[in-house]
Amino acid sequence: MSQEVIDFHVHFPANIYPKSKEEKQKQFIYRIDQLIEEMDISNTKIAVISSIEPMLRSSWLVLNNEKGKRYGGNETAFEAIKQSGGRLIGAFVPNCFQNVEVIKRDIQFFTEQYHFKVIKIHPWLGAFPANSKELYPVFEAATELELPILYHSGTIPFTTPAEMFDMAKRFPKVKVVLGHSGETELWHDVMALAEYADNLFIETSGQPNRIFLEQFVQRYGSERVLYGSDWLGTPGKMIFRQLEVNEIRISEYDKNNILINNAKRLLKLK
Amino acid sequence: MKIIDAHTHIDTCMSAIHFSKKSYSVEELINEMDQNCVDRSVVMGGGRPYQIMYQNELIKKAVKKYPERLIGFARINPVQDDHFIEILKTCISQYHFRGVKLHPTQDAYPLLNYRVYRIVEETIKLKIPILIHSGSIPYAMPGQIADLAALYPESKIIMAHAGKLELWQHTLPSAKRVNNLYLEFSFTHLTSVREAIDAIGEKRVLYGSNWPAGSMRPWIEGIKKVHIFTKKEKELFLGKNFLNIIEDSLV
Repeated sequence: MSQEVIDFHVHFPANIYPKSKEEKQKQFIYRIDQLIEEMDISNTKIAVISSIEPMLRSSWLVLNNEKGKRYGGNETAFEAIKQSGGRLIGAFVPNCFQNVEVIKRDIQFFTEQYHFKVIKIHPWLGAFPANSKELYPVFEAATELELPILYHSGTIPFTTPAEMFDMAKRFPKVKVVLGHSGETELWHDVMALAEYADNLFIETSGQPNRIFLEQFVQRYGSERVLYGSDWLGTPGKMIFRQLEVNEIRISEYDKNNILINNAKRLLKLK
Repeated sequence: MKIIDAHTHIDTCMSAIHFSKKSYSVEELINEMDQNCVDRSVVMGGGRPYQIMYQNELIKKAVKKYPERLIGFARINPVQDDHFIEILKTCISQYHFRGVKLHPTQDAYPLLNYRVYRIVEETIKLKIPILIHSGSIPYAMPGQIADLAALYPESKIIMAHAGKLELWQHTLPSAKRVNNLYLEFSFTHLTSVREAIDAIGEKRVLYGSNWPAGSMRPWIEGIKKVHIFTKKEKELFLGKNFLNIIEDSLV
């Protein structure tokens, strides 16, 4: 890979179900090296990481009983960020079933104290509709703090583009990024809905259809497309996903937008 | 090392047809193969359900023009008309196709019905494989394809897209149930292949790109750069397994 990129969609730590606390700790130590190595090999300058754990509602109950943990596993992402030498940026995963004040306080805390710059929502793992009213405080916080929201999209039930479109229309100042661009079954919805919400963005991981991506760029511009790998601890995924983006038949200007410039803009990086 | 792409289209395909009116020519396919050192490609119709014979005719011409590079599969739609077995026989005996493509999602039918059974029985007689689209609800679920393979253990069934990302969690449990089910990995990624080899062995995994919607290069270049496969696994995945599937066909 010759060009530096920003990966907008990475998970860390990625193992949802470690067999023991010891195994979890061992994997954490191993995987931070693995993640940085994967980034180096694929010329990934910066990755936006979110922990999988807080996407599961049960994690908030289990982990919050552990000593010193209050944020359902978001802390582990922050630990990785501290070790990364500026290579990682956090995406905070809120527990939208807490009361409104706690949701907003947590988001504010992670953005101000830990410099998280994105909110990640995974309604499929969390088991709630992507336009659930419980998410309104999250979007209000995102509006106030000018944070983009990255959704998992494309998996039935709960993560349909229409639900995310609904939120994008209700909160027009929030940049709503559809992780996976609706995947390979709901891309038609994405193509149709993007016309009516300028704040709807797409992210490329899990979207192998280059004809869809070419047409999206043609219709709505490359400024609304972000590169992501959805790295989950598996070697080679970043390289593979970048090769896919490089195969989209668009201009170099558009590719640069997708691979680095748009992420810089959303993350407010120089 | 022979590289065979087990899943390509010309003209159009389901992943393109609703976004683009562009027709992708056989020359573009050959050019893509040349650029990626792909020796041969399996090519099949991907257009609308009511244009089955038009698509098969296009494939026939393409294979005739590039017999050393292309292997034709007959797109058969068992619910379009009652002559689907005759169409299949024509494609095999006169057009020299080497397999069948079924698209239960695009053509809208459940796999477990007597018309499909007739197709499978015909392919068993000819010892040719059937490539079936997967990864879409409700007609192209990995479990349904495994059911079909279990009903006909002598058949050779290829699950195109290996369930895609959406139904990947169904794919390996389904593939473990039967030995005559092969996985083709277009629209997934390399790490899925690794998982599959670990779960079902190295002989039932096939490289496919789903060109023109999918790209060849991420697979061909990715497999060189990502060191998660042995040399033997690469050889089997990229071509040898497919050759093994068609080597004893009677056509």
